[in-house]
Amino acid sequence: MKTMIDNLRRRAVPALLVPVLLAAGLWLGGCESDATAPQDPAPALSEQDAAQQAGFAAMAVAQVGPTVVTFSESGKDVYSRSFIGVASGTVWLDFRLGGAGGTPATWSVGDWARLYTAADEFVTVSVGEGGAVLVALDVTADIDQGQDSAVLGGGGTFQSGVYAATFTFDELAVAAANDYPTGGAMVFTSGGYAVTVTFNGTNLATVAVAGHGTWTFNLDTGALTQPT
Amino acid sequence: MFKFWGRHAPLALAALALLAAIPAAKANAEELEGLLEDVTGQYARAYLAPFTHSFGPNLNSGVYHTAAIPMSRLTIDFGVKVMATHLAAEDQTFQTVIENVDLSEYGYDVPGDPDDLGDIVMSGPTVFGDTETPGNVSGYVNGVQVFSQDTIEGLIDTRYSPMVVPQASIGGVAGLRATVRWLPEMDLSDFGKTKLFGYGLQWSANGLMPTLPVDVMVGFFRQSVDVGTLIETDANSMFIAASKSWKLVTLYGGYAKEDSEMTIAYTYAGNDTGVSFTVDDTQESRVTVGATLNVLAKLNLEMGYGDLTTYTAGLMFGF
Repeated sequence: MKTMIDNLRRRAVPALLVPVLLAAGLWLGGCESDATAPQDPAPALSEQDAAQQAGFAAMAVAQVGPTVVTFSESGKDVYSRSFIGVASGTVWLDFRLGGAGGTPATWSVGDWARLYTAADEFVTVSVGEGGAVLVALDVTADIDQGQDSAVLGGGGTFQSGVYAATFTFDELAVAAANDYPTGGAMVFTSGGYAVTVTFNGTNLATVAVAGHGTWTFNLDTGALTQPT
Repeated sequence: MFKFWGRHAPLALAALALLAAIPAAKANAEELEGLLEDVTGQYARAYLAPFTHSFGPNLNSGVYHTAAIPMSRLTIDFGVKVMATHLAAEDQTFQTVIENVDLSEYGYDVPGDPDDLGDIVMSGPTVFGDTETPGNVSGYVNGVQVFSQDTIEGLIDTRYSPMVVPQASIGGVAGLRATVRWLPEMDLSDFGKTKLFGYGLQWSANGLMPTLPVDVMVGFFRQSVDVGTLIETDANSMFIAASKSWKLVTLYGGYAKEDSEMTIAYTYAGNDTGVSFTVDDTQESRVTVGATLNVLAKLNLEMGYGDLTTYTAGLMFGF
Protein backbone atom coordinates (compact mmCIF):
# COMPACT_ATOMS: atom_id res chain seq x y z
CA MET A 1 0.00 0.00 0.00
CA LYS A 2 2.79 2.41 0.92
CA THR A 3 4.58 1.59 -2.32
CA MET A 4 1.43 2.35 -4.28
CA ILE A 5 1.04 5.73 -2.54
CA ASP A 6 4.69 6.59 -3.17
CA ASN A 7 4.27 5.72 -6.83
CA LEU A 8 1.21 7.90 -7.08
CA ARG A 9 3.07 10.79 -5.43
CA ARG A 10 6.01 10.39 -7.80
CA ARG A 11 3.69 10.49 -10.79
CA ALA A 12 1.43 13.16 -9.43
CA VAL A 13 4.14 15.84 -9.37
CA PRO A 14 4.98 15.70 -13.08
CA ALA A 15 1.34 15.13 -13.96
CA LEU A 16 0.42 18.33 -12.09
CA LEU A 17 3.17 20.17 -13.93
CA VAL A 18 1.44 19.55 -17.25
CA PRO A 19 -1.55 21.79 -16.56
CA VAL A 20 0.78 24.34 -14.94
CA LEU A 21 2.87 24.43 -18.10
CA LEU A 22 -0.20 24.61 -20.30
CA ALA A 23 -1.51 27.47 -18.17
CA ALA A 24 1.83 29.22 -18.60
CA GLY A 25 1.55 28.63 -22.32
CA LEU A 26 -1.92 30.09 -22.39
CA TRP A 27 -0.69 33.09 -20.44
CA LEU A 28 2.12 33.57 -22.90
CA GLY A 29 -0.41 32.96 -25.63
CA GLY A 30 -1.96 36.22 -24.58
CA CYS A 31 1.10 37.76 -26.17
CA GLU A 32 -0.40 38.39 -29.60
CA SER A 33 1.55 37.80 -32.75
CA ASP A 34 2.77 40.91 -34.49
CA ALA A 35 0.72 41.93 -37.51
CA THR A 36 2.38 41.08 -40.81
CA ALA A 37 -0.10 42.32 -43.42
CA PRO A 38 0.35 45.96 -44.55
CA GLN A 39 -2.14 48.46 -43.16
CA ASP A 40 -1.16 51.62 -45.04
CA PRO A 41 -3.15 54.78 -44.38
CA ALA A 42 -4.94 56.42 -47.30
CA PRO A 43 -2.73 58.80 -49.29
CA ALA A 44 -2.59 62.22 -47.62
CA LEU A 45 -4.76 64.87 -49.22
CA SER A 46 -3.40 68.07 -50.69
CA GLU A 47 -5.39 71.31 -50.63
CA GLN A 48 -6.27 70.74 -54.29
CA ASP A 49 -7.52 67.25 -53.44
CA ALA A 50 -9.79 68.71 -50.76
CA ALA A 51 -11.06 71.32 -53.25
CA GLN A 52 -11.80 68.59 -55.80
CA GLN A 53 -13.71 66.54 -53.25
CA ALA A 54 -15.74 69.56 -52.18
CA GLY A 55 -16.53 70.26 -55.83
CA PHE A 56 -17.97 66.79 -56.39
CA ALA A 57 -20.08 67.07 -53.24
CA ALA A 58 -21.34 70.43 -54.52
CA MET A 59 -22.17 68.78 -57.85
CA ALA A 60 -24.54 66.37 -56.10
CA VAL A 61 -26.05 69.13 -53.97
CA ALA A 62 -26.60 71.38 -57.00
CA GLN A 63 -28.63 68.68 -58.70
CA VAL A 64 -30.58 67.42 -55.72
CA GLY A 65 -31.02 70.53 -53.55
CA PRO A 66 -33.57 72.38 -55.74
CA THR A 67 -35.93 69.40 -55.34
CA VAL A 68 -37.43 71.05 -52.25
CA VAL A 69 -38.99 73.66 -54.54
CA THR A 70 -39.31 71.74 -57.82
CA PHE A 71 -41.02 68.67 -56.38
CA SER A 72 -44.60 68.16 -57.55
CA GLU A 73 -46.38 64.87 -57.30
CA SER A 74 -50.01 64.46 -56.34
CA GLY A 75 -51.81 61.64 -54.66
CA LYS A 76 -49.06 60.40 -52.35
CA ASP A 77 -48.44 60.68 -48.62
CA VAL A 78 -44.76 59.81 -48.80
CA TYR A 79 -42.60 61.79 -51.17
CA SER A 80 -39.41 60.63 -52.82
CA ARG A 81 -37.57 61.45 -55.99
CA SER A 82 -35.05 59.38 -57.89
CA PHE A 83 -32.31 60.90 -60.00
CA ILE A 84 -30.45 59.54 -62.99
CA GLY A 85 -27.73 61.62 -64.56
CA VAL A 86 -24.65 63.40 -63.25
CA ALA A 87 -25.86 62.31 -59.85
CA SER A 88 -28.07 59.29 -59.29
CA GLY A 89 -29.96 58.00 -56.30
CA THR A 90 -33.10 58.60 -54.32
CA VAL A 91 -33.94 61.32 -51.83
CA TRP A 92 -36.94 61.49 -49.49
CA LEU A 93 -38.92 64.62 -48.60
CA ASP A 94 -40.93 65.50 -45.51
CA PHE A 95 -42.94 68.75 -45.92
CA ARG A 96 -44.32 70.68 -42.94
CA LEU A 97 -46.53 73.69 -42.47
CA GLY A 98 -45.53 76.08 -39.69
CA GLY A 99 -41.83 75.47 -39.71
CA ALA A 100 -39.75 72.54 -38.50
CA GLY A 101 -42.17 71.69 -35.69
CA GLY A 102 -45.23 72.18 -37.84
CA THR A 103 -47.85 69.74 -39.03
CA PRO A 104 -47.24 67.41 -41.96
CA ALA A 105 -48.13 69.08 -45.23
CA THR A 106 -48.18 68.45 -48.93
CA TRP A 107 -45.42 69.70 -51.21
CA SER A 108 -47.69 72.41 -52.57
CA VAL A 109 -48.33 74.17 -49.24
CA GLY A 110 -45.40 73.26 -47.01
CA ASP A 111 -43.20 76.09 -45.78
CA TRP A 112 -40.51 73.83 -44.42
CA ALA A 113 -39.04 70.56 -45.67
CA ARG A 114 -36.50 67.95 -44.78
CA LEU A 115 -34.71 66.33 -47.73
CA TYR A 116 -32.66 63.28 -46.88
CA THR A 117 -31.17 60.05 -48.14
CA ALA A 118 -32.22 56.82 -46.42
CA ALA A 119 -29.81 55.10 -44.04
CA ASP A 120 -26.92 53.48 -45.95
CA GLU A 121 -28.15 54.97 -49.22
CA PHE A 122 -26.42 57.70 -51.18
CA VAL A 123 -26.63 60.09 -54.06
CA THR A 124 -23.87 58.82 -56.32
CA VAL A 125 -21.74 60.88 -58.67
CA SER A 126 -19.99 58.56 -61.13
CA VAL A 127 -16.36 59.45 -61.76
CA GLY A 128 -13.95 58.03 -64.32
CA GLU A 129 -14.38 54.32 -65.01
CA GLY A 130 -16.15 52.77 -62.06
CA GLY A 131 -15.07 55.41 -59.56
CA ALA A 132 -17.71 57.08 -57.41
CA VAL A 133 -18.48 59.85 -54.97
CA LEU A 134 -21.17 58.90 -52.48
CA VAL A 135 -23.07 61.72 -50.83
CA ALA A 136 -25.51 61.26 -47.97
CA LEU A 137 -27.77 64.23 -47.28
CA ASP A 138 -29.84 65.50 -44.39
CA VAL A 139 -31.03 68.91 -45.50
CA THR A 140 -33.55 71.31 -43.99
CA ALA A 141 -35.23 73.95 -46.11
CA ASP A 142 -37.21 77.10 -45.35
CA ILE A 143 -39.52 77.37 -48.35
CA ASP A 144 -41.04 80.48 -49.87
CA GLN A 145 -43.93 79.05 -51.88
CA GLY A 146 -44.70 82.43 -53.44
CA GLN A 147 -41.23 82.82 -54.90
CA ASP A 148 -40.70 79.08 -55.50
CA SER A 149 -37.42 79.37 -53.65
CA ALA A 150 -35.87 78.05 -50.47
CA VAL A 151 -32.90 78.49 -48.16
CA LEU A 152 -31.15 75.28 -47.18
CA GLY A 153 -29.48 74.29 -43.93
CA GLY A 154 -28.25 70.99 -42.53
CA GLY A 155 -25.55 69.07 -44.32
CA GLY A 156 -24.30 65.64 -45.17
CA THR A 157 -21.37 63.29 -45.63
CA PHE A 158 -19.00 62.60 -48.49
CA GLN A 159 -17.34 59.28 -49.26
CA SER A 160 -15.11 58.28 -52.13
CA GLY A 161 -13.35 54.95 -51.60
CA VAL A 162 -11.01 55.38 -48.65
CA TYR A 163 -11.84 59.05 -48.14
CA ALA A 164 -14.64 60.46 -46.01
CA ALA A 165 -15.66 64.04 -45.22
CA THR A 166 -18.55 66.09 -43.86
CA PHE A 167 -20.21 69.28 -45.00
CA THR A 168 -22.81 71.82 -43.87
CA PHE A 169 -24.78 74.51 -45.64
CA ASP A 170 -24.65 78.19 -44.90
CA GLU A 171 -27.91 79.70 -46.19
CA LEU A 172 -27.67 77.91 -49.51
CA ALA A 173 -30.32 79.45 -51.78
CA VAL A 174 -32.17 77.49 -54.45
CA ALA A 175 -34.97 78.53 -56.79
CA ALA A 176 -37.27 76.62 -59.13
CA ALA A 177 -36.38 79.00 -61.94
CA ASN A 178 -32.67 78.30 -61.74
CA ASP A 179 -30.73 75.10 -62.48
CA TYR A 180 -28.02 75.94 -59.95
CA PRO A 181 -28.02 77.28 -56.39
CA THR A 182 -28.32 81.03 -56.58
CA GLY A 183 -26.36 81.95 -53.48
CA GLY A 184 -25.01 80.92 -50.13
CA ALA A 185 -22.27 78.41 -49.44
CA MET A 186 -21.34 74.88 -48.51
CA VAL A 187 -18.60 74.39 -45.90
CA PHE A 188 -16.71 71.14 -46.51
CA THR A 189 -14.18 69.62 -44.09
CA SER A 190 -11.72 66.95 -45.28
CA GLY A 191 -8.17 65.93 -44.41
CA GLY A 192 -7.77 68.86 -42.05
CA TYR A 193 -8.78 71.38 -44.72
CA ALA A 194 -11.77 73.74 -44.45
CA VAL A 195 -13.22 74.34 -47.90
CA THR A 196 -15.96 76.83 -48.72
CA VAL A 197 -17.91 76.38 -51.95
CA THR A 198 -19.81 79.51 -52.95
CA PHE A 199 -22.65 79.37 -55.51
CA ASN A 200 -23.77 82.19 -57.83
CA GLY A 201 -26.57 80.77 -59.96
CA THR A 202 -24.26 79.56 -62.74
CA ASN A 203 -22.51 76.26 -63.33
CA LEU A 204 -19.24 77.72 -62.00
CA ALA A 205 -18.82 77.60 -58.23
CA THR A 206 -15.96 79.16 -56.32
CA VAL A 207 -13.99 76.77 -54.13
CA ALA A 208 -11.81 78.37 -51.47
CA VAL A 209 -9.49 76.32 -49.25
CA ALA A 210 -8.80 78.30 -46.10
CA GLY A 211 -5.23 79.56 -46.16
CA HIS A 212 -4.36 77.83 -49.43
CA GLY A 213 -6.07 79.47 -52.39
CA THR A 214 -9.16 79.52 -54.55
CA TRP A 215 -10.30 77.34 -57.44
CA THR A 216 -13.24 77.33 -59.84
CA PHE A 217 -15.32 74.17 -60.10
CA ASN A 218 -17.58 73.37 -63.04
CA LEU A 219 -20.77 71.83 -61.65
CA ASP A 220 -21.54 70.18 -65.02
CA THR A 221 -18.19 68.61 -65.91
CA GLY A 222 -16.44 68.23 -62.57
CA ALA A 223 -13.41 70.16 -63.81
CA LEU A 224 -11.37 72.06 -61.20
CA THR A 225 -9.32 74.90 -62.65
CA GLN A 226 -6.07 76.31 -61.33
CA PRO A 227 -5.95 78.74 -58.40
CA THR A 228 -6.54 82.33 -59.20
CA MET B 1 -2.27 -9.72 -35.32
CA PHE B 2 -2.64 -6.02 -36.16
CA LYS B 3 -5.58 -4.52 -34.36
CA PHE B 4 -6.47 -1.14 -35.79
CA TRP B 5 -7.96 0.15 -32.56
CA GLY B 6 -5.40 -1.56 -30.36
CA ARG B 7 -2.04 -0.23 -29.35
CA HIS B 8 -1.32 0.80 -32.96
CA ALA B 9 -4.27 3.14 -33.08
CA PRO B 10 -2.22 6.32 -32.42
CA LEU B 11 0.19 5.39 -35.20
CA ALA B 12 -2.69 4.76 -37.59
CA LEU B 13 -4.32 8.05 -36.63
CA ALA B 14 -1.08 9.93 -37.21
CA ALA B 15 -0.69 8.35 -40.64
CA LEU B 16 -4.29 9.17 -41.48
CA ALA B 17 -3.82 12.78 -40.40
CA LEU B 18 -0.80 13.10 -42.67
CA LEU B 19 -2.51 11.40 -45.59
CA ALA B 20 -5.53 13.65 -45.16
CA ALA B 21 -3.35 16.74 -44.98
CA ILE B 22 -1.53 16.14 -48.27
CA PRO B 23 -4.51 16.31 -50.66
CA ALA B 24 -5.98 19.18 -48.63
CA ALA B 25 -2.73 21.08 -48.99
CA LYS B 26 -2.65 20.32 -52.70
CA ALA B 27 -6.23 21.53 -53.16
CA ASN B 28 -5.54 24.72 -51.24
CA ALA B 29 -2.35 25.36 -53.20
CA GLU B 30 -4.16 24.88 -56.51
CA GLU B 31 -6.98 27.17 -55.40
CA LEU B 32 -4.45 29.73 -54.21
CA GLU B 33 -2.65 29.73 -57.54
CA GLY B 34 -6.02 30.15 -59.25
CA LEU B 35 -6.74 33.21 -57.10
CA LEU B 36 -3.31 34.77 -57.55
CA GLU B 37 -3.57 34.59 -61.33
CA ASP B 38 -6.13 37.40 -61.09
CA VAL B 39 -3.93 39.88 -59.20
CA THR B 40 -0.65 41.70 -59.68
CA GLY B 41 2.52 40.94 -57.76
CA GLN B 42 2.05 43.97 -55.50
CA TYR B 43 -1.40 42.78 -54.54
CA ALA B 44 -0.23 39.20 -54.05
CA ARG B 45 2.63 40.28 -51.78
CA ALA B 46 0.20 42.02 -49.40
CA TYR B 47 -2.54 39.39 -49.75
CA LEU B 48 -0.13 36.59 -48.87
CA ALA B 49 1.76 38.44 -46.10
CA PRO B 50 0.32 36.41 -43.17
CA PHE B 51 1.11 33.21 -45.05
CA THR B 52 4.60 34.14 -46.21
CA HIS B 53 5.51 35.40 -42.73
CA SER B 54 4.10 32.42 -40.83
CA PHE B 55 5.33 29.61 -43.06
CA GLY B 56 8.92 29.90 -41.81
CA PRO B 57 8.02 30.06 -38.11
CA ASN B 58 5.79 27.03 -38.66
CA LEU B 59 8.62 25.10 -40.31
CA ASN B 60 11.04 26.03 -37.55
CA SER B 61 8.67 24.68 -34.88
CA GLY B 62 8.62 21.27 -33.28
CA VAL B 63 12.15 20.26 -34.23
CA TYR B 64 12.71 18.78 -30.77
CA HIS B 65 10.62 17.61 -27.85
CA THR B 66 13.34 16.79 -25.36
CA ALA B 67 16.95 17.79 -24.79
CA ALA B 68 17.87 14.35 -23.54
CA ILE B 69 20.19 12.46 -25.90
CA PRO B 70 21.85 9.27 -24.61
CA MET B 71 25.61 8.97 -25.00
CA SER B 72 25.54 5.36 -26.10
CA ARG B 73 22.03 3.99 -26.37
CA LEU B 74 20.29 3.97 -29.72
CA THR B 75 17.01 5.92 -29.86
CA ILE B 76 14.65 6.09 -32.81
CA ASP B 77 11.38 7.93 -33.12
CA PHE B 78 9.10 8.92 -35.94
CA GLY B 79 5.71 10.57 -36.27
CA VAL B 80 3.89 13.73 -37.19
CA LYS B 81 4.18 17.36 -36.09
CA VAL B 82 1.25 19.73 -36.48
CA MET B 83 1.95 23.46 -36.21
CA ALA B 84 -0.21 26.54 -36.30
CA THR B 85 0.86 30.15 -36.05
CA HIS B 86 -1.72 32.33 -34.30
CA LEU B 87 -2.13 35.41 -36.43
CA ALA B 88 -2.94 38.92 -35.25
CA ALA B 89 -6.56 39.89 -35.91
CA GLU B 90 -5.37 42.64 -38.26
CA ASP B 91 -3.80 40.02 -40.49
CA GLN B 92 -7.18 39.03 -41.88
CA THR B 93 -7.28 42.23 -43.92
CA PHE B 94 -4.73 44.47 -45.60
CA GLN B 95 -4.44 47.85 -47.23
CA THR B 96 -1.45 48.80 -49.30
CA VAL B 97 -0.96 52.12 -51.07
CA ILE B 98 1.15 53.08 -54.09
CA GLU B 99 1.39 56.84 -54.53
CA ASN B 100 2.13 58.86 -57.68
CA VAL B 101 1.85 55.93 -60.03
CA ASP B 102 1.07 55.97 -63.75
CA LEU B 103 -2.60 54.99 -63.73
CA SER B 104 -2.51 54.07 -67.42
CA GLU B 105 -0.68 50.94 -66.28
CA TYR B 106 -3.94 50.05 -64.60
CA GLY B 107 -5.97 50.88 -67.69
CA TYR B 108 -7.02 54.41 -66.73
CA ASP B 109 -6.03 57.60 -68.56
CA VAL B 110 -6.29 60.75 -66.45
CA PRO B 111 -8.04 63.52 -68.44
CA GLY B 112 -5.74 66.50 -68.92
CA ASP B 113 -2.67 64.81 -67.45
CA PRO B 114 -0.22 63.31 -69.94
CA ASP B 115 1.58 61.55 -67.06
CA ASP B 116 -1.68 59.95 -65.85
CA LEU B 117 -0.50 60.30 -62.26
CA GLY B 118 -2.61 59.12 -59.36
CA ASP B 119 -2.63 56.86 -56.34
CA ILE B 120 -3.53 53.18 -56.06
CA VAL B 121 -5.13 51.68 -52.96
CA MET B 122 -5.31 47.89 -52.75
CA SER B 123 -7.34 46.49 -49.89
CA GLY B 124 -9.43 43.53 -48.82
CA PRO B 125 -9.16 40.17 -47.12
CA THR B 126 -5.81 38.43 -46.91
CA VAL B 127 -5.37 34.78 -47.79
CA PHE B 128 -6.63 34.04 -44.25
CA GLY B 129 -9.49 36.55 -44.45
CA ASP B 130 -13.18 36.58 -45.38
CA THR B 131 -13.87 34.05 -48.13
CA GLU B 132 -17.09 35.78 -49.21
CA THR B 133 -15.95 39.40 -49.60
CA PRO B 134 -13.74 40.32 -52.55
CA GLY B 135 -10.81 42.66 -52.28
CA ASN B 136 -10.56 45.88 -54.24
CA VAL B 137 -8.11 47.89 -56.29
CA SER B 138 -9.03 51.56 -56.64
CA GLY B 139 -7.36 54.45 -58.40
CA TYR B 140 -7.50 57.99 -57.03
CA VAL B 141 -6.92 61.35 -58.69
CA ASN B 142 -7.07 64.46 -56.54
CA GLY B 143 -8.57 62.57 -53.62
CA VAL B 144 -11.44 61.14 -55.63
CA GLN B 145 -11.88 57.51 -56.63
CA VAL B 146 -11.70 57.29 -60.43
CA PHE B 147 -11.82 53.54 -60.88
CA SER B 148 -12.65 50.58 -58.74
CA GLN B 149 -12.22 46.91 -59.45
CA ASP B 150 -13.12 43.94 -57.29
CA THR B 151 -10.41 41.33 -56.89
CA ILE B 152 -10.16 38.09 -54.93
CA GLU B 153 -11.61 36.70 -51.72
CA GLY B 154 -9.73 35.08 -48.88
CA LEU B 155 -8.78 31.43 -49.24
CA ILE B 156 -9.44 30.21 -45.68
CA ASP B 157 -11.14 32.30 -43.00
CA THR B 158 -8.96 31.58 -39.98
CA ARG B 159 -6.52 33.18 -37.56
CA TYR B 160 -4.34 30.09 -37.54
CA SER B 161 -1.82 29.39 -40.28
CA PRO B 162 -1.48 25.59 -40.17
CA MET B 163 1.09 23.01 -41.27
CA VAL B 164 1.65 19.25 -40.93
CA VAL B 165 5.02 17.55 -41.41
CA PRO B 166 6.32 14.01 -40.87
CA GLN B 167 9.47 13.77 -38.76
CA ALA B 168 11.94 11.07 -37.71
CA SER B 169 15.00 11.04 -35.49
CA ILE B 170 17.82 8.64 -34.72
CA GLY B 171 20.30 9.28 -31.94
CA GLY B 172 22.27 7.97 -29.03
CA VAL B 173 25.78 7.85 -30.46
CA ALA B 174 28.27 10.19 -28.79
CA GLY B 175 25.39 12.38 -27.62
CA LEU B 176 24.27 13.12 -31.16
CA ARG B 177 20.80 12.93 -32.64
CA ALA B 178 19.93 13.40 -36.32
CA THR B 179 16.45 14.53 -37.34
CA VAL B 180 14.87 14.52 -40.78
CA ARG B 181 11.61 15.73 -42.25
CA TRP B 182 10.83 14.27 -45.62
CA LEU B 183 8.03 13.67 -48.06
CA PRO B 184 8.56 11.82 -51.31
CA GLU B 185 8.54 14.05 -54.36
CA MET B 186 5.00 14.02 -55.70
CA ASP B 187 4.11 15.01 -59.22
CA LEU B 188 0.80 16.86 -59.01
CA SER B 189 0.05 16.83 -62.75
CA ASP B 190 -0.01 20.35 -64.23
CA PHE B 191 0.62 21.87 -60.80
CA GLY B 192 4.21 20.63 -60.69
CA LYS B 193 6.14 18.71 -58.09
CA THR B 194 5.79 19.07 -54.37
CA LYS B 195 8.52 18.08 -51.98
CA LEU B 196 9.70 18.55 -48.41
CA PHE B 197 13.15 17.85 -47.06
CA GLY B 198 14.72 18.95 -43.82
CA TYR B 199 17.60 17.75 -41.74
CA GLY B 200 19.28 18.70 -38.52
CA LEU B 201 21.67 17.59 -35.88
CA GLN B 202 21.50 17.94 -32.09
CA TRP B 203 24.31 17.41 -29.59
CA SER B 204 23.99 16.82 -25.88
CA ALA B 205 26.22 18.90 -23.62
CA ASN B 206 25.65 16.56 -20.68
CA GLY B 207 28.62 14.43 -21.72
CA LEU B 208 30.87 17.38 -20.94
CA MET B 209 28.88 18.49 -17.92
CA PRO B 210 27.45 15.33 -16.34
CA THR B 211 26.47 17.05 -13.11
CA LEU B 212 23.94 19.37 -14.73
CA PRO B 213 20.51 18.96 -13.10
CA VAL B 214 18.80 19.11 -16.51
CA ASP B 215 19.50 17.82 -19.99
CA VAL B 216 21.00 20.40 -22.30
CA MET B 217 21.60 20.25 -26.03
CA VAL B 218 22.36 22.49 -28.98
CA GLY B 219 21.44 21.91 -32.58
CA PHE B 220 20.45 23.18 -35.98
CA PHE B 221 17.79 22.37 -38.55
CA ARG B 222 17.57 23.25 -42.25
CA GLN B 223 14.49 22.73 -44.40
CA SER B 224 13.33 23.21 -47.93
CA VAL B 225 9.73 23.03 -49.16
CA ASP B 226 8.49 23.30 -52.74
CA VAL B 227 4.77 23.41 -53.41
CA GLY B 228 4.47 22.88 -57.13
CA THR B 229 5.88 25.78 -59.09
CA LEU B 230 4.06 28.24 -56.83
CA ILE B 231 6.07 28.23 -53.61
CA GLU B 232 9.70 27.64 -52.72
CA THR B 233 10.72 27.99 -49.10
CA ASP B 234 13.94 27.62 -47.13
CA ALA B 235 14.08 27.75 -43.35
CA ASN B 236 16.98 27.53 -40.92
CA SER B 237 17.13 27.32 -37.15
CA MET B 238 19.93 27.13 -34.58
CA PHE B 239 18.87 26.43 -31.03
CA ILE B 240 19.83 25.63 -27.47
CA ALA B 241 17.40 23.68 -25.33
CA ALA B 242 17.05 22.16 -21.87
CA SER B 243 14.66 19.60 -20.50
CA LYS B 244 13.80 17.74 -17.33
CA SER B 245 12.27 14.30 -17.55
CA TRP B 246 10.11 12.30 -15.19
CA LYS B 247 8.65 8.93 -15.87
CA LEU B 248 5.59 10.17 -17.70
CA VAL B 249 6.42 13.76 -18.53
CA THR B 250 9.27 15.77 -19.98
CA LEU B 251 9.26 19.53 -19.67
CA TYR B 252 11.44 21.41 -22.11
CA GLY B 253 12.29 24.87 -23.27
CA GLY B 254 14.72 26.53 -25.59
CA TYR B 255 15.89 29.56 -27.46
CA ALA B 256 16.45 29.66 -31.21
CA LYS B 257 17.86 32.01 -33.81
CA GLU B 258 16.10 31.42 -37.08
CA ASP B 259 15.43 32.73 -40.55
CA SER B 260 13.44 31.77 -43.58
CA GLU B 261 12.56 33.03 -47.02
CA MET B 262 9.76 32.22 -49.42
CA THR B 263 9.60 32.75 -53.16
CA ILE B 264 6.21 32.95 -54.86
CA ALA B 265 5.95 32.54 -58.64
CA TYR B 266 2.87 32.48 -60.85
CA THR B 267 1.50 33.91 -64.07
CA TYR B 268 -0.66 37.04 -63.87
CA ALA B 269 -3.55 36.44 -66.25
CA GLY B 270 -4.14 40.20 -66.69
CA ASN B 271 -1.21 40.54 -69.07
CA ASP B 272 0.02 36.94 -69.18
CA THR B 273 3.36 37.79 -67.57
CA GLY B 274 5.27 35.91 -64.94
CA VAL B 275 5.23 37.26 -61.39
CA SER B 276 7.91 36.32 -58.89
CA PHE B 277 8.87 37.79 -55.56
CA THR B 278 10.78 36.71 -52.48
CA VAL B 279 9.84 37.52 -48.90
CA ASP B 280 12.27 37.26 -46.01
CA ASP B 281 10.63 36.30 -42.77
CA THR B 282 10.77 38.95 -40.06
CA GLN B 283 11.04 36.51 -37.14
CA GLU B 284 14.69 36.13 -36.12
CA SER B 285 14.42 34.41 -32.75
CA ARG B 286 12.01 32.55 -30.52
CA VAL B 287 11.58 31.14 -27.03
CA THR B 288 10.00 27.69 -26.84
CA VAL B 289 8.28 26.01 -23.90
CA GLY B 290 6.69 22.60 -24.10
CA ALA B 291 5.80 19.33 -22.48
CA THR B 292 6.02 15.77 -23.72
CA LEU B 293 3.76 13.08 -22.33
CA ASN B 294 5.27 9.59 -22.53
CA VAL B 295 2.38 7.14 -22.59
CA LEU B 296 2.71 4.47 -25.29
CA ALA B 297 3.74 7.20 -27.69
CA LYS B 298 5.27 10.63 -27.13
CA LEU B 299 2.64 13.35 -27.31
CA ASN B 300 4.14 16.81 -27.09
CA LEU B 301 2.60 20.25 -26.94
CA GLU B 302 4.66 23.42 -27.20
CA MET B 303 4.44 27.11 -27.77
CA GLY B 304 7.02 29.15 -29.62
CA TYR B 305 7.01 32.84 -28.89
CA GLY B 306 8.83 35.31 -31.16
CA ASP B 307 7.42 37.98 -33.41
CA LEU B 308 4.72 35.41 -34.02
CA THR B 309 3.22 32.89 -31.62
CA THR B 310 3.27 29.32 -32.89
CA TYR B 311 1.65 26.28 -31.29
CA THR B 312 2.87 22.78 -32.06
CA ALA B 313 1.56 19.32 -31.27
CA GLY B 314 3.51 16.17 -32.05
CA LEU B 315 2.79 12.47 -31.94
CA MET B 316 5.98 10.41 -32.07
CA PHE B 317 6.59 6.69 -31.78
CA GLY B 318 9.76 4.78 -31.10
CA PHE B 319 12.14 3.87 -28.35
